[in-house]
Amino acid sequence: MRITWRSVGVGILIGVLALLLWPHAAKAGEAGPQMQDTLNTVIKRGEVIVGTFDFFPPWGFRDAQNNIVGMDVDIAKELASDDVLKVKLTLVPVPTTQDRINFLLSGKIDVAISNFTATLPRSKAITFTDPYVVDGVGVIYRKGLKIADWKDLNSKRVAVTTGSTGEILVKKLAPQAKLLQFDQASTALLAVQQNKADAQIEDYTYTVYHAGRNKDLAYLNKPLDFQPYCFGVRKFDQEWLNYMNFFIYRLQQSGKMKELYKKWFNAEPFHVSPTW
Amino acid sequence: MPQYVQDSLNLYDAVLFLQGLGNTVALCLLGLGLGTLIALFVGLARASHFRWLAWPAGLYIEIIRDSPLLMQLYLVFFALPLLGLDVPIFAAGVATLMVNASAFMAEIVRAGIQSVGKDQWEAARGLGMGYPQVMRWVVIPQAFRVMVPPGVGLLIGLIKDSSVISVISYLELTRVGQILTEKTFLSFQVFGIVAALYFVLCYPLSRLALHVERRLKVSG
Amino acid sequence: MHGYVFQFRPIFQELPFLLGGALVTIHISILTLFFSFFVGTIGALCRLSRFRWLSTPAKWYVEFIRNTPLLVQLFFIYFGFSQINVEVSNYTAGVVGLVVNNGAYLTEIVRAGIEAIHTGQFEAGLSLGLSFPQLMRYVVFPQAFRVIYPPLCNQFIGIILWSSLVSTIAVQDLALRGKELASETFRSFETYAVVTLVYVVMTLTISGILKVLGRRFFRRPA
Repeated sequence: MRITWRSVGVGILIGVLALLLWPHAAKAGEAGPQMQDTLNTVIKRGEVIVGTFDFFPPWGFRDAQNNIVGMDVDIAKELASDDVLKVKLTLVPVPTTQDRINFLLSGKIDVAISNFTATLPRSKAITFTDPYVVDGVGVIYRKGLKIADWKDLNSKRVAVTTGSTGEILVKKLAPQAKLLQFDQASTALLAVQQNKADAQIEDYTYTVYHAGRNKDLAYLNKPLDFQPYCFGVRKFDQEWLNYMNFFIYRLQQSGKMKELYKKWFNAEPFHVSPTW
Repeated sequence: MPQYVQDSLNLYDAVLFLQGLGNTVALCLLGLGLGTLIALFVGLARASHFRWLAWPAGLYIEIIRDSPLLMQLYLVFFALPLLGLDVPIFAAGVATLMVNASAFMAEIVRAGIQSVGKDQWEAARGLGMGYPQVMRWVVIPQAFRVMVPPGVGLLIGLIKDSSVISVISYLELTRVGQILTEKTFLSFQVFGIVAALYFVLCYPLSRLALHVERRLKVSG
Repeated sequence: MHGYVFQFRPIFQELPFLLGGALVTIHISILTLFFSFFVGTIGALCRLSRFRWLSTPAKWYVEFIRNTPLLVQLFFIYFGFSQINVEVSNYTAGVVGLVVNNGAYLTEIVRAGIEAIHTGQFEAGLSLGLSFPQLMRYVVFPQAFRVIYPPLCNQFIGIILWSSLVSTIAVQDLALRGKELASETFRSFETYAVVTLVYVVMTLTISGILKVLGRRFFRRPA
């Protein structure tokens, strides 16, 4: 490589300049909000692009034939069905927790239906619909370890997914825990299975499912927090948001939600809200 | 709760492997092809005597070669849409590889052009050829022979680098490995097969590069 | 599109957080360079050896590593080995993976350096009664190192850049810190732009220093 004093100097100059100049870009004030109309775009396009996970059973995962299936996928199929939007369904597997927001913001998906927990910080970047399911946060850990409560996680190796609600909770409730952060829940689970971590923090239904599947693992029967799962949509997209909310309402009212939940979980869904 | 357990790889997984392989090849061929087109201009600019051409070309090459491919991918995938360009996943992968390849290829092009001795230039000019003719008939054919072995090396490098494109969930070979590991948790077998498939792609190419290099050396 | 406004201030406020990751990146890179140089030297000697049982495995090692991606090698070492009950921590797997990977490239670099030395040197050294280790230490390496140095510096830059992949196995380097910051602030573009800038500045500075050092130590004898 032809590196000379000059290019070293240029490199450092660029670095310093960038550091000095860029903070000022923040003062540019907020641009006017641009209203979006995803609903009409979807209808015109004849296709709705839904983001789901493909590694998170039973919400979104791959079956033996490598098709993407799961609770969220069935809901997405309902959305695209003849009674609702009557368009083609395209599923985009989203690789990580954070990418649900990134894909939405960059227009790669129209809606994110992927056990997406609504939180206030996330609501600053995108908009959540009303909840369609309520879950909790759970702990899955290697059998034989004495974990009865969250504070027992201090001094243990805990695997979490970057950008998940579990990651934030652990940092708050068990600050002495040794954190191992992975891109995907399944990778974090693999770490626990291979004894690279003692426990994993994930959504409660996920911990129950995987502890049932694996005889070395146990789950903590004390779901913490309440995690409402909602659809994620972009900001300034009022019509689409309203349509989604009404869709969810109908899903609950018609009993379809109960039917799907029974299919995937063999149990009754938690009450989402007093009126439902 | 109904359980879905898959303890071994099946036929559908084999199909997925092949799909991933094909997608990787498509990604790399397009990326290299388009990248070479760009590199021809950038390399020529870099080799030029005009400061105002050579310096920006040099800066472009330097910045791309000195930043990680992972970061370049994130910037292309998440940044371009914010500036108004909607980029589907495959296009983002190709674009990143294309930009990355163009910088490395530009250096190969430059070396190729500069390998053609000055006497060739002077002789051609003496025969009354203008700049484009000199390039077309004298310089590029000779430079091409010098560029092919490192060019094939770049293709091999690109095939390996394409594994990074898995992070934007494009169904290339490494992503297939991740999906199947997530499903079956058989990481040793799955990644073993993935590594073997990459080897099957790259090794013949590296032998080809060696062969071509030897043949070109002999003919002097 | 979508009414997005660039805001770099939240990222620059967290610069110390990112730079902490940069320190880890440099630490890993130096460790990798150190160990892979040893691996490379041993590999080169095996490769050049008369004994087939040394040269052939070395050749296959180099070919296998050079024709498979680093990311797959990392996953294989971190996840694959545990499946066959070989325990590795993420940091160890990262460094081991990088060392194994770069060791192959360094094998070729060191080999080229040794081969560049005129055979007359070997014969002269042997006829002076030097043993093989002495030959290596006093005749071969000082001269080979001059040839090895530029590609070695190049390789070091490559190590720094590609070490970003260990972020996929949870090592807290610059890339992972960037990912964390991007999830906290929800500003992917700004975060990754700044992280890229840090990598570029690191790389340019280090390669500039190495080049200057090279000029000072390898002044050609008159």
